[in-house]
Amino acid sequence: MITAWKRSISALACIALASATLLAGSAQAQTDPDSGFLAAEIETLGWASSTREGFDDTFSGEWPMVFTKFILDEVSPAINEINLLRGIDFRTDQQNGGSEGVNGTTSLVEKGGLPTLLGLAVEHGALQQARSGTSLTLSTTPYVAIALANGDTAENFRRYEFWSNFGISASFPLDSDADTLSSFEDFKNVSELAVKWQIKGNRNPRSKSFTEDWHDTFGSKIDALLEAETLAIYNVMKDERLKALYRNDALKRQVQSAIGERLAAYRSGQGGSEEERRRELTTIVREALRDAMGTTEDGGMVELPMELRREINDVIAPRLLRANRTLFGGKKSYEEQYMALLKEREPLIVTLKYAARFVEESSDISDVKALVEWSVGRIDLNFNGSLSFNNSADSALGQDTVREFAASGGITWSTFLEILPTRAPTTFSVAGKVTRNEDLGDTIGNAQARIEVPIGAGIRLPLAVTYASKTQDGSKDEWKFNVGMNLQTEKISSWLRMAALASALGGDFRLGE
Amino acid sequence: MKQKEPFIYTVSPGETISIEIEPVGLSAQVRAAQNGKAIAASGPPTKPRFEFSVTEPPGNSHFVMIWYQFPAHAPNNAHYEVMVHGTLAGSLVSEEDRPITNRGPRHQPAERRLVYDFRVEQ
Repeated sequence: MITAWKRSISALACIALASATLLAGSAQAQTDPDSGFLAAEIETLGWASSTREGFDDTFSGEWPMVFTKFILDEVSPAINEINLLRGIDFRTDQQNGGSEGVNGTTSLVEKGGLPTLLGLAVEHGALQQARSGTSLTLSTTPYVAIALANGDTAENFRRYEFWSNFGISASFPLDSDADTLSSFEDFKNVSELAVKWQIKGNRNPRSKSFTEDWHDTFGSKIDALLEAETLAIYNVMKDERLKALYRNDALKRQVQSAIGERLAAYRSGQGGSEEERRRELTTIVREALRDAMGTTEDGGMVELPMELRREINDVIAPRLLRANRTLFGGKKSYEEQYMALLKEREPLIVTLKYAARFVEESSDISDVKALVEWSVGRIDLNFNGSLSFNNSADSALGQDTVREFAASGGITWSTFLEILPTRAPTTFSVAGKVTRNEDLGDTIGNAQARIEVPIGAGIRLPLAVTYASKTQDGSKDEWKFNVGMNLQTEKISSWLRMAALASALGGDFRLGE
Repeated sequence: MKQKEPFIYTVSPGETISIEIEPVGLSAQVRAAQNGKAIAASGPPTKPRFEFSVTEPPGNSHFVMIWYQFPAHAPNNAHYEVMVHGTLAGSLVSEEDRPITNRGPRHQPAERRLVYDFRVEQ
């Protein structure tokens, strides 16, 4: 019975792996109707005029911005969207690898954050086990099913982000029956199945609330930079075709009329939430302008000369970014400010976990855990408290129902290392754990030093050295070395999407200018 | 210089353009930039003036963006009056543009950013 259950779970894990990988590979550039320059401009427009007459009075003064922001959004969603996407790789709160009960794991203390799509970790070594081992851990959330069915779009994430608060993970030993994970049969031997509920502190930068906070913190300052704005307008209008379209009174009146007709509803609160009304208005304006300009055959960007795309990518967008940095005073890099914002708004993470562990020639084990993280600046403090039970205690082996109590804590420091090929944080951590094992009638202490290095988009390399006062079979103290590789499809998907946008721009990806 | 419609003007190469702003019912909290460069205000602080020379070739535009700040709880009639002057060969032309009012909630500070398009013609 238990074997059939394990097989089902394992099969589901395999399907999730394959599907999420496919999902990552098919990431396409897409425009979020509720973010970007045009949406922000529409919001300003919507609230700047209480009457149709007032709106019509000054629309000619708004039109250059509406037109230019549309062009910037079409050609360079990098300013808003890419900066948000890259933040996904800044997260340090997610647990990818197995818990300390899994063979080979590199984590003495478990983190509370959850990989949104699919996390994979292959780890080798031993922490508390007498025998070294290698394991594969797959982690995901129910949101992945929604992403697979409807697409992992910004809109879908906002609508269904609640489901990213629940985690599911499965760990498999890769060396129990075979030397390598070479066939489906290897997945039958699941060693741990776990469910998690993140009660507090979802730091996903794709969330609606974070996006709003990001706009509050950074967006208004960008808008304040009149120099960058007028330069953008000026440079876009250097293109004769665009200038002709901008000066086309019929097009201007069409857009003015489209906005004006809906202004009363926008202000009165009819027709859905404010966000929905703004989105509708933005879409109407965008479609009107797209119709006037024509889009590429694949329905992508409006047709624009490659020189202009490059100029926007190389000159206009970087100038806006530089102006942004100037405004912030240059004391902290954008990445540091971004990471600080992620942590400041959700400094506390609290996650509950239930795990079923399957141990050869012994009773299966149930673990109940509380995972807590408190972040201050670059420092993350992690605490775990756990209680383990023998599911079928064998008194002949000296087993009680309660198997062990454990408490652990760790401190992690994050930094961006220039020498690495990717702009994601490297983390250094030290941790300690005390376990009271009732089966052994003994107390075990562990200490660990760990480094996790980003080696590519969404790929991290954890290395750990751990001292154990005893292993769980009661043998003497020991030093253990663990190494692994963590991979997150969400981060890879984000990177692929950023690369697709860069390719469409026809130039180098200038993020970080 | 000639006003084509509010916010849009035709100007000539070499002409000097100044935008004079007079606040009514509030103090002058305005800033401006033109084609990527901030313009320093001249004139009295109660009636600032933003000035630039037409240097773009015919067919191009000078885009001037002005930031009009409205403090919280400004009176209902608070607004900025805008007068645009053009001087060419010693002659002065003045055009009155739309007054700028705060149409948002009056209990909180608000700003309006508007662009004036000066199209260069021969």
